[in-house]
Amino acid sequence: MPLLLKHPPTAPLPPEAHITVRHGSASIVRARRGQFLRITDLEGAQPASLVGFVDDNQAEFLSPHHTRVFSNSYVLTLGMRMVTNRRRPMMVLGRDTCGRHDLLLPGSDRYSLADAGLAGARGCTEAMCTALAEAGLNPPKLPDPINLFLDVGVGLDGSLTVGGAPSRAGDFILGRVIIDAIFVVAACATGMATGERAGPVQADVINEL
Amino acid sequence: MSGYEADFVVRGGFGKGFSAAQGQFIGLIDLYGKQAGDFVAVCRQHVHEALSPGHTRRALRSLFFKVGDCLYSNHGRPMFRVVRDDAGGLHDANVPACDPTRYAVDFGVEDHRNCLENLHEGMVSLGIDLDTLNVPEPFNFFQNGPVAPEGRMRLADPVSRPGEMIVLEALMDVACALSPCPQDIIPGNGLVVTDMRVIVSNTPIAQ
Repeated sequence: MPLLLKHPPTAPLPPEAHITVRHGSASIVRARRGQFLRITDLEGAQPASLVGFVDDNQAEFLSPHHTRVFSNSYVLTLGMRMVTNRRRPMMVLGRDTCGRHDLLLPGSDRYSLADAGLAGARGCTEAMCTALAEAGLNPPKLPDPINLFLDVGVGLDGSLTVGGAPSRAGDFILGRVIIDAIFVVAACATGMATGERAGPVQADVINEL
Repeated sequence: MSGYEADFVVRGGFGKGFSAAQGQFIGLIDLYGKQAGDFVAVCRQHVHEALSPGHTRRALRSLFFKVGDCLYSNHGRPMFRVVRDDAGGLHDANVPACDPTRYAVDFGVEDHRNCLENLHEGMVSLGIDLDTLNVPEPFNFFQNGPVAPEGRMRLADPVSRPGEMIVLEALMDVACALSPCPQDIIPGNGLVVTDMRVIVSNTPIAQ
């Protein structure tokens, strides 16, 4: 079900893709305008980190910072436009069975994980850099991720309370992709959520709901 | 003369780069009140280490900081210590620097002055070789970013009064840039853009 355009493109949507991201790694997920991206926590209590680059200009990328200001919201909620650093919607959050995501905190790296008592663990930052390099991609910058399934409460006094990993097995987010994009999805420890487990994440690019 | 190592005014809506050595104190003064100043910094020795609002939020578990807190780099190291804050913690580290798309997309105005290019020019003037893409996320001193219920951002003008100052102790050698924000359309500077003053001092600033 491609976008209902008055003048539909003659080429069909590309084939669907189904990618399991094992714990401690990241995967490249390409999606075209009109497709849906669904990210699922397969076993529960596993946050997923998401970055995305515009396919033909990787200097433009999904930005949690611009996404907050675009909607005047510190938190990601249903219907919000996930926008780029050029303030263009890349994807819109259309379904969400978890409801707890983070737009404020950086991705984990081996230093932050060591500080959190997880010495030797691979962070989101390293996993994404590896995945990009293995795909032959060399974007000018690794942007800050959107941290899905990470419960960061924002108090009226500005306090940030990182709760337990909120997602149950099978919880997912799904969004209509608006710009042809190269997404990177990581399934790594955050070092912040209490009770987070070391599970995989599923990334699906789908054409029909 | 003041006897400071540096003491200058940054024109409202424009940017300026300056350096400070480890142990020096940086005073940023809202000369006329209600003026936000976007501020970025990188480590002099390795410029990929930059002041990071996100890492600071993670370390402090807060959107906001208070006197005595450190501000952290993207390597997780303390980069500055806040030693004085006349604004009582009313600063923003959430909103990205205004850039050409802020004015063009959100307000339909092309060719507006903007903090991103101001900060970039400030960094380049110090010989810091980075493109606009790699200008770090800013701290927006004196900008008022209240939290409303349900995690909403409330738009508000600063409440800073003329002469209010924030003082940062540099914990490493830093290259910095300040842009008194040119935003004159949406609340942020009281719709009137004014100058700021920068002091770099070897001793704590006590005026």
